[in-house]
Amino acid sequence: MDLTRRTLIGSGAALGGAALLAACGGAREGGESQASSTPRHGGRLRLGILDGERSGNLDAHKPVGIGSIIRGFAMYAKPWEWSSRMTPDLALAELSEVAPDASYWTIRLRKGLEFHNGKTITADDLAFSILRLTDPALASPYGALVHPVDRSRVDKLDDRTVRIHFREGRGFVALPDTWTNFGGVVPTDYHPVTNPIGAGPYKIKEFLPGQRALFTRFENYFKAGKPYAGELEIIEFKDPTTRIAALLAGQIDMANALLPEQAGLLGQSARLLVSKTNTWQSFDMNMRHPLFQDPRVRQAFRLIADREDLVRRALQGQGRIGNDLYSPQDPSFDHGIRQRVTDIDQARSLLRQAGQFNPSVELVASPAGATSALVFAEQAKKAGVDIRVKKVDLATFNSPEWKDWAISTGGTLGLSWLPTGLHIDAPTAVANHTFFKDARFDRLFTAALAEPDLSKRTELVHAAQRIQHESGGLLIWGFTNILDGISPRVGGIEAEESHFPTWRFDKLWV
Amino acid sequence: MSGSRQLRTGIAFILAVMLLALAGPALAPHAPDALVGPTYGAPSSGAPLGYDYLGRDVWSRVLAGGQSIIWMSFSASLLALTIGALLGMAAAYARGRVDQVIVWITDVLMAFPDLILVLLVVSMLGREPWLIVLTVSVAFIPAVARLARGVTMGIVQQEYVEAAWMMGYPWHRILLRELLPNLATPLLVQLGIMLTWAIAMLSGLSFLGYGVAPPAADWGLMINENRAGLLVQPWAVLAPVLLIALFAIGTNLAAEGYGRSKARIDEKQG
Repeated sequence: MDLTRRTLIGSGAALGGAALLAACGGAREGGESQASSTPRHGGRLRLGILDGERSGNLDAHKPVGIGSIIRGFAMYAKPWEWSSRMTPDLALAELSEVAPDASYWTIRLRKGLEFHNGKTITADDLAFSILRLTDPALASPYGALVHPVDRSRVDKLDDRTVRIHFREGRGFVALPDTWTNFGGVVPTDYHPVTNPIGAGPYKIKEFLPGQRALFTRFENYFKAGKPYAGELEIIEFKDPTTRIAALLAGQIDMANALLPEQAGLLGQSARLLVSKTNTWQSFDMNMRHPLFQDPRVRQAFRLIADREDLVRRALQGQGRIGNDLYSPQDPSFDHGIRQRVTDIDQARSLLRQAGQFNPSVELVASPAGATSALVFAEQAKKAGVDIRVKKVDLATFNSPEWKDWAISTGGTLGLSWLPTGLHIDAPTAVANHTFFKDARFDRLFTAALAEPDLSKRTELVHAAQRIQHESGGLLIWGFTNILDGISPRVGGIEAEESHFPTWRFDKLWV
Repeated sequence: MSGSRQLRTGIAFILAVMLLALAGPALAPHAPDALVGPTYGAPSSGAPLGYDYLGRDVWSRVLAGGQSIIWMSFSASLLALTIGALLGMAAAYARGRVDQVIVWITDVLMAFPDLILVLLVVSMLGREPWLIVLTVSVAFIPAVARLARGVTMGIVQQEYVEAAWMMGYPWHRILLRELLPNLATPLLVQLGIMLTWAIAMLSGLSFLGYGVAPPAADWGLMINENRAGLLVQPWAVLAPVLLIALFAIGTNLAAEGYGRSKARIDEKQG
């Protein structure tokens, strides 16, 4: 340690200089051109993302970090793709049909599909892809989403058709929803490092983990005439302020998932795209914890939450309130359940009935959830509840320690109701942070999962959602808007109910 | 600026910040964690520094947020000074194996970058204030011990020290009465430098999320919490930055001024 005044002052000067340079930003690279209103081929589309993980990869089925997932959207096509409302539409598949008892799916590929290397896509490749995604040796965390797939009964019916059965004859209508995020179709000789071949809109040209990936247009993409840009570059930033400076300076064309604070900074240099998603924010009450075993305490906590205030403060107003239920966009969602509102008196009464006088509890918050936790802790004081917020790093938050936490921040992407339940509170859910367990709910969920008929499934889902609303452990207080910063030179982009308008690489042009 | 003027200016800065930090909580118009305004709200008559990322009054948080950094920086520096000075004097006085062991320990400790050492300990054992103070002081002890040992080496051979030894005074009396007074000037200058570094380190720890835990008001934490809105509501960041800078500059000026005055540098120059 060299404790001299000169080094200290020198360090201060260096820091000050760096701050000044950062504040000044880079020089604008030429003038901003306006995007053509009709699609235009050529040019390079540049997306700035927040990642920078050296462990980032190109694996279609086991992506590491958000950067790898986004690169997967460029490189890999799937049997289905998300619509703008986060429902699965046919993509590589020309037909997908579920059995009357949902015990198997039949998927038929379009004719004449090709991989980036010119090889024809066949049923063998499709079967290989689902087997690789669910391979225990690969141990992809996303394989759990399609865990009912019976790996011994993925049958090739002809050159373009595959039939996928489920374990023990179980029904599984949610296959498209669960496969679509991470189920890129890859050739049977696929390797994520030596042969990263897919059928997505762009082919990989250069990849520097943690820094950037450069792609070139795939001429034989299954959507004729697409993609439009000749090249795609995904640039990784570690700091949101640096990234917004790059967008304003014209060094990138798009910045996804901006901080709400940055929304007002775009000015003339870029426009703000607001997507009202169903990505939800919650506090997860551990029903094994002595405090939350009593449903009256869980109800009290739900009545303490001032959801409007949480949206206003924790989301800077960029979102809407929730009603302790996920997936409101799902066609089977029960919109008849009354919106829960703040009622401090009722909350106090319920706590007293449960024998809890001025309870005290530790709320564990992820880095992203700390803001909402602090707001909720302040709200809880009105009901005499002492909430101590403990902010932990992401690695700790994702570690098995969550099983011991009384209450923690939570939330996930806005998928449909069944795939979300499979992850969150279904009988086999792997991320059941509330330890929710209800025999009737489990029966209803299992029946809904095996019911292809929407009207019949809706009845089952409605009954299950009433159980979640009355006695579940999730306090879902809000849904987040996704804010994207878009340069005027980008065309073809529009707001969606998804979190990825900027990842629709096949429909954007510059 | 002359040494005495530097000293006066430095002390004035330190006292101003300390006064604000100590009296601030009593003067704050709102509780530091109360949600009283819009998020990143601009300054207004009721909130001279506006509101932070949660809608808390920045002025109230500034007033309430200085105590931790001040008591922790002083505690860590004084602890390091005390232990380091005793170790250094003991090494120089005892010589032989005692000297070798102490020098070896300080060498090992100095091999660790101080901030990394503190981050390592705090991330493993928790972020209790006493632990942070102890760890920061451990990071500072080697420099003090080296300084004290070096200065004592020169003094210990002086005749009056040998006379004290010949008269059979106990070793602790020789250390405290004969040696320590002669170390006061360099040690006090070192104290000022350590205070400056402690402020920077403690602010850095809070900024990195290893210092005082939210929702507590703390100047370092305030910078971290509000930096995303720097361009929207700069006062939530600038106010704690300015106060930390003022305190650090104050301790630095006081240390330099004291050193210059004691060494009579200004008189010699002119």
